[in-house]
Amino acid sequence: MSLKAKTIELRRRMQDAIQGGGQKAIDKQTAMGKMTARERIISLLDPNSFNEYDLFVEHTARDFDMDKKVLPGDGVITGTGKIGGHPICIYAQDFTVAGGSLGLMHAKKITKIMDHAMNLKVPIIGINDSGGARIQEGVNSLAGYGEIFFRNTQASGVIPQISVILGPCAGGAVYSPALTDFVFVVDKISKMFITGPEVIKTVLGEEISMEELGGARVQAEITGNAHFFAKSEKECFDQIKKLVTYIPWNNTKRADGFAIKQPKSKTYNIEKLFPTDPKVPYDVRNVIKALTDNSDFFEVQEFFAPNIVIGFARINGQTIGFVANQPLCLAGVLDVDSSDKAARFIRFCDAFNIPLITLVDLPGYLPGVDQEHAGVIRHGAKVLYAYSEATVPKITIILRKAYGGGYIAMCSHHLRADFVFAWPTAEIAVMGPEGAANIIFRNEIMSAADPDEMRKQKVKEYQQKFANPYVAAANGYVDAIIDPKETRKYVVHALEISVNKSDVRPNKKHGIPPF
Amino acid sequence: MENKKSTDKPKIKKIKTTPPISENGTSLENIKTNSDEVVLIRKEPSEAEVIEPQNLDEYYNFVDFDIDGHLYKTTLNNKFLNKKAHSLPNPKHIKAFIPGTIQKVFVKEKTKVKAHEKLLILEAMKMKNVLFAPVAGVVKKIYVKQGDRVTNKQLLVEIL
Repeated sequence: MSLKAKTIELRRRMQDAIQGGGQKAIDKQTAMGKMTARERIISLLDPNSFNEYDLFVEHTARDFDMDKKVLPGDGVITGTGKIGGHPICIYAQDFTVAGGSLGLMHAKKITKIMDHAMNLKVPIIGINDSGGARIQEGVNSLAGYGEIFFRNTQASGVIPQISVILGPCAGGAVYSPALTDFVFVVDKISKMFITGPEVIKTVLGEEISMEELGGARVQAEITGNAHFFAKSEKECFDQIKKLVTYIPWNNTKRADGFAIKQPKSKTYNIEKLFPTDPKVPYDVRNVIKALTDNSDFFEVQEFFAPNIVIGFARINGQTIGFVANQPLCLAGVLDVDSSDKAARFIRFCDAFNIPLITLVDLPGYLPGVDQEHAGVIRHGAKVLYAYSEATVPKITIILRKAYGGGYIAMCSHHLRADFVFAWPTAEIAVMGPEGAANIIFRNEIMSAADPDEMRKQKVKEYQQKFANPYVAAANGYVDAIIDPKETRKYVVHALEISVNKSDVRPNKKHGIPPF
Repeated sequence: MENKKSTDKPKIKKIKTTPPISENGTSLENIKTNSDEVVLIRKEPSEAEVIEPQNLDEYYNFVDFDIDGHLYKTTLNNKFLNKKAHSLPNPKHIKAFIPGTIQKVFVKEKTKVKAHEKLLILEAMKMKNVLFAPVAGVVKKIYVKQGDRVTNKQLLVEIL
């Protein structure tokens, strides 16, 4: 056979394999409003940057007449490519081939590309669209999941791992995304749950739709399993492309530097957007935007626990991770959900050399039976752990309230913040003036002729004496009290001189964070 | 996530973060059921628009939120609003701890039971769970019969 004939033969074989589950299955996928696995990879990656591997892998199942079935690529597409010039490894499950079900060879393709990502030290992106385990392959299918989970754990903190849920992701399959750093979901397309509505109905008699149980909105708002919510697959891919610009290739690198831009200070004017009265709400994201390059802020987990804001931005062209209490929701308290949200983000930034800026304005922890019973002690401890553990440059700015345990938790000097700045509006105290006065002056208030009047007077007294940043500054817990307008200047300076920061922690196998 | 705006100006209610412990309604539940009065869904300003604090009321339905005696003006998220108020468990109310089927009822109404006496079998998740009387007393009312499907926390038996 001539080379030409051999090439034609190759083309023919490729053409067959690329068809996936065939036109009928593709039409069905399209009818559901979903792209095919191949279309997804093409839309996500830079043009002509995708190299596919293992196209000719075949499944090895022999039972239940599986030996007679051909599953092109065994239901998953794997390869390498680039996003905005960044090299990445990628796999996409192909729902048109046996419902994207995971068999042994399907899993082997995934673990092979994951191993590649680890060796090449580049991010891995997994697009999930699968009915779950391939039942015909039995325990081999479970083995496949286990191998993926192990690699997710090994890769954690070494290379960024991104999961995109573009279809069902049920049962054991959900644990791979859960182990990765960022989970993307798309409205009406993504579905994640351990046990589906059918099982819940038969076993428990409770009726619920897939959407209500584990749809994209639920994952983004209620469970916090998802980090990014999009209305369409296209919007989702745009979010991924944006995220990739903010994060480094691996844990030995820094994120790419960009040209320095000044904030849009006319729009984001702190004087106008920041009320000094600690009881009046404002959107802390406006304060973040007043500090960042071009006033850009890329928010993570926007809808989950909105009482804390986390996300990426750039200052002086460098990626920064922001953690900020949000007075707009629940007065910005720390609770179970917001603690989990912040702690995980802090650990991501620390693992990938992204400096942290913390904006503090919180009245403390959320009181309530539900919070205590949900383990706010254990969850709240995660924030302390994450900040104490982090060795990246840490800058804290206390805007207004920093009361009690909340003050300590929000990256205080005691947890080794490198720089703690306070605005003159800051109130750093063991608790809010009302609560403190009621305790300290209990006797005076109780025995006064007019207890209410006495209480007011004592609250005012306490407020004047302690509700300011100067007591903390006198103890050296605040490094500088700064004019809010000069915050960016201070932050830029602090980042510049922290560039070679090296903070050593005791040698250990690993810590035991309060999971 | 949803963009809702009530055309009428919402009434702002004062609520405590910790609802009073009671069997019945609490201030929190009142807010939940009376959704006409308080609609607490975020309305996002358009991206170009940056709202000054004094104008935030047009976009958010604020409530006064009590933390340590301070009343903070803020919004509540859906998860917070949907939480159930805590109530003290009544040992004389025997409730299902899991949804399932009543497989057998051992006792009759108006008869005496000893503490730890078998009351009924609740079958769930392929397990036959025996429910015992937590205290001695008289069976005041049995709310279920053999074969009934029950939901979680449903009241099954009351002891006097």
